[in-house]
Amino acid sequence: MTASLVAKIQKRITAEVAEMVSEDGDVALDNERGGDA
Amino acid sequence: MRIKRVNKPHLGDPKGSRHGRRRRYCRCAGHELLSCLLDEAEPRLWREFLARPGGLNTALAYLSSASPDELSLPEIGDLVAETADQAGDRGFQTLLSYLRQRATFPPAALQLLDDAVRRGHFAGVDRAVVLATEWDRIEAQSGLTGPPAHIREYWYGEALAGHVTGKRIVTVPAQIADTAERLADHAAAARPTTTEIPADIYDLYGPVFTAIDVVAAADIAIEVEAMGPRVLTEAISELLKQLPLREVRKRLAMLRDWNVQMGTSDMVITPVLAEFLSQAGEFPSILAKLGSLIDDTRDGQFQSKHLVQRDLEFSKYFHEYARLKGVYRQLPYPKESLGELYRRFKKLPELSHDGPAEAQIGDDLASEVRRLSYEAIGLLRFLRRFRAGTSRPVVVVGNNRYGRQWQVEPLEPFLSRDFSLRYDGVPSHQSMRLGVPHARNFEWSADNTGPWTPDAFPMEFVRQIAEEMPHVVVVDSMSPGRYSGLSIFSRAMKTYAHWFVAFNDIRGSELTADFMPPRHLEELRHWYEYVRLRHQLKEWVRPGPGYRLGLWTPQLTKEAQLGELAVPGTPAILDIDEPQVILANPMIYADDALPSHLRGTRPTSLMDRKGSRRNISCSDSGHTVFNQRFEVR
Repeated sequence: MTASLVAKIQKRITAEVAEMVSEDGDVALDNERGGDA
Repeated sequence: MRIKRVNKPHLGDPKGSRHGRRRRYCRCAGHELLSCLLDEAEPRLWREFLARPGGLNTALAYLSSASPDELSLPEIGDLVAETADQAGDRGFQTLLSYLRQRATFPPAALQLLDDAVRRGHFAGVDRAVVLATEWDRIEAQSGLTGPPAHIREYWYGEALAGHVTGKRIVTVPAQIADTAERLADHAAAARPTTTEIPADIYDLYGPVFTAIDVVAAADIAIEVEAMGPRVLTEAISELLKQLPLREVRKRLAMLRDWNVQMGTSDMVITPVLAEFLSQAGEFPSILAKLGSLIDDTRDGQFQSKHLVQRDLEFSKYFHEYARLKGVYRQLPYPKESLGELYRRFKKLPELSHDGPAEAQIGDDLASEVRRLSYEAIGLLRFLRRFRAGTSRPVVVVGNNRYGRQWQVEPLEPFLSRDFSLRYDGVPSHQSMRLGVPHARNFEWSADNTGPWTPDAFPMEFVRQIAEEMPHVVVVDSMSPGRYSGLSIFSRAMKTYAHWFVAFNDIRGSELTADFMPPRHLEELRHWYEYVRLRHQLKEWVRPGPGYRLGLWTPQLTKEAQLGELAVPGTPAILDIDEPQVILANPMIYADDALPSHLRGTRPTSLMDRKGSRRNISCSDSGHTVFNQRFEVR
């Protein structure tokens, strides 16, 4: 895997997280998958 | 405490041996010189020189001090005649003083000086003679030789060129002698337990003695050794070329703070970076430019032709080179200075650039990336929830590589406002049950520590956490290969936990007593790496409150596997202000806990692919590819 591919994957993760954050609304206090934390 | 002289680096050799000079008395000199006076075949101007007051004495003084491989009497005669032919009487006094000192000049300087005399550049030669006379005086007083030939040559060159003039010429040799003494004291005090310190202070701090301001350069060398950042000695003179000492100090202090914020405390200031950092303008905007170059590299836009961007990678090379030497059993560990490693770094062969076609996320990768995103948002939820329940600052440590590359760096846009981010590299491979990291603040730390001990948490960060006690969340994952139903955390996480056990010990806190099995902690406290870390932390940390340790993972079980250790599943606690260290693994190991479209994916396989590391990867030849463009040999 090349450096540019890693950067591309990171950007894709960032974009997908951004999409999920906007779908969730505010994820700040939602800990549905937070285990026993 | 005054360090015994025997432990200090050498300041010089017994007088007379450094240049291999052999003083001899030329018994035939008188006879030969008298012949010159009477022999009409000798150049007329040479004979006139000898006949003038002081001429014969000077020629005798030269012959009695010159070694056999220096100019013979006829050659000196030619030099005198040629000079007198060009300049007449004007050069007589200079010739007198130059010939008396000529035997004390190093060979490379002699060539320059002879040429200058022939060309009639007497002012430059006079300045060089003043320097030589002053060095002679200091040597006579101290009984030791002064700086080695290359440093003297440098200053003779400066004197000839007129870069150093007036009263300053007289002060330079004394400044060099005082600085050598001061640095020798400093080096001995800074390395009290190091047996193999470099033999000569002029080798250890060479470029300091050719800096535009020797005293200021020594001030900076001592300051950065104590407080960071790492600065190559040759870079110090580069900084002083452009800026006064006060401004250099101010900028280095700002750079230290900036490095902590950026997670780049291991940066090494090379001459190229020094030039960049000392350019005119507001320093915050210069730092902003530097930051954008670092970001470009992290975004895969590394340009090896960009010298600043290239030198920013040197710290990675330094660490990897040390580690590789250990991996390939090329022991004993090479005791090379940062300067020597930098010279190696500059010679690294360049590899071909990645083709744009390679940077495609195919279908096979796309599902792994979706899994990474899913786990990353779980981590983001936890971090935001944790943040909301405390007023204490939170530092998130992305462990290099997995935790950094796939978990924290992609979340930077969401975390940078409310969290401090930093990246340390504690590998799980090559680690053992009792591994404890150690901050390699300087090259001799690496020499003492050995390449197998992970390098983490530099001095600046340790001082920060000792003062502010932020919560620390260390993020990393572990391959599911050893998943047995218990929550699992990598061996690297266990190594971080050992670090905080030592920190709490220094603080006098018992808060980590129940986090690991008591027998393990007892054994750990006797392990040499632990003892060494305690010794290091004692210098930086005062007694005070300690950290509580806890675990976070989406499915934390009552018992957990921390590297090789079975530990209680101590959960991270929300809504508290007491300082807490949380070892966080966002990976979901039970397939049925994943959404159906992500089942069967295995993102750790990204790390198994050939050359998958972002900046450093193993090539087929077994060498390490550095930032995909350089090969470490």
